[in-house]
Amino acid sequence: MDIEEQYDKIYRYCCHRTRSPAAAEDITQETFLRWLAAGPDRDDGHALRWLYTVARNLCADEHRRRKPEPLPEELPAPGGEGDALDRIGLRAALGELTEEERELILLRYVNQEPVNVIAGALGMSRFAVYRRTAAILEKLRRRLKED
Amino acid sequence: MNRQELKAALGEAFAVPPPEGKRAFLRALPPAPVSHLRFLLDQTGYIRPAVWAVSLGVFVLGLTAGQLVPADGLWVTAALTPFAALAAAAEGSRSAFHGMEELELASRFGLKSTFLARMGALGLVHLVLLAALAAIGGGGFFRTGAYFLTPYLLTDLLCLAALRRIRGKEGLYVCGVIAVLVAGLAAAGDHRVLYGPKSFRWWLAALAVIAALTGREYCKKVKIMEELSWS
Repeated sequence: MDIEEQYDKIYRYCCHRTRSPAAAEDITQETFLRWLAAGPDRDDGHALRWLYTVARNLCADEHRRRKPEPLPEELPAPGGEGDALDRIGLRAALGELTEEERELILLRYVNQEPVNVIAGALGMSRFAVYRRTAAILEKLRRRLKED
Repeated sequence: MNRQELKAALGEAFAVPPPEGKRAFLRALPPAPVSHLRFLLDQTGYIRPAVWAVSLGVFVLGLTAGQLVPADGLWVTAALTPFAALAAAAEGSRSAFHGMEELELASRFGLKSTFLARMGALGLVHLVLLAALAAIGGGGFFRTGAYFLTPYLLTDLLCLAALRRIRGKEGLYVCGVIAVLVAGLAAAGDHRVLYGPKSFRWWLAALAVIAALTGREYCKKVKIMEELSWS
């Protein structure tokens, strides 16, 4: 498994769980150090499930320890006025989702993790992951259409 | 916004500030430990396809000879095995052939480990193929096995000794000559006498001596590699 490649994904995941880039970076590094100490598993799917599970638990510990800090509101990507409106609309639509739904969307469509990895990390069946991600995506599309 | 555009936009919506300590963290990380089995499998992957092709070619030709001319299959296969050993010797001297020994000695997995892993994997595959040929061919498994293994190990032994003294391309050419000579030795003479029951004890004695000498030659080779890494 390429740690460099997975670092960004775990960091992004932690960032959205903790709402604090500094805490997310600490947790990401702690996750990889624990993975190395445990004896790295070369099976990528298993390693990813392990990394996400540990990162998730560490984020939960962090959440219990301190108050979350909000992420910066500005979106970094440039674009036209229409794009900006779309992005604002999407951000608002994402805000209406539950924490678990946002987590699923982030893992599946942003980090582009395989369904079996997500299922293993979140303790769901593969079918449930398929069904729920499709439903959430449809919900977002409907919400954006309404706007 | 269609489904694809939505998926692309999600990436932007979940954008986060770039990680600041990533480079420093990755630089400070120790290299991940690798299990023996994984290392062996990794190194097997580096063996050139041509070496596998020669090994498989020897097996197929031996099998074909055994089916087409059962009376001559034994000595034909015995005369083919030196070429499988030549392929193994060529693989073993690959670093020297390309002048990469020093670089490999300094790498994370040293020359000794990679040499032993590759030769171990190749030797195991050759042993399995020769055992399969011995099992398929008539005349008893151990007897046929001795006929196949003796020229194979003799070529291996002579090639190792030659490559220890003559380096680079020249060493490999000498190995080619050795393989041809051993193959000729296995094919020459009266086959009924050479591969007959009366000669078998001599084959066994030769196999035992050659196997012991080959083992000693491998030990020497490994010792030289250890000395090289210290010098």
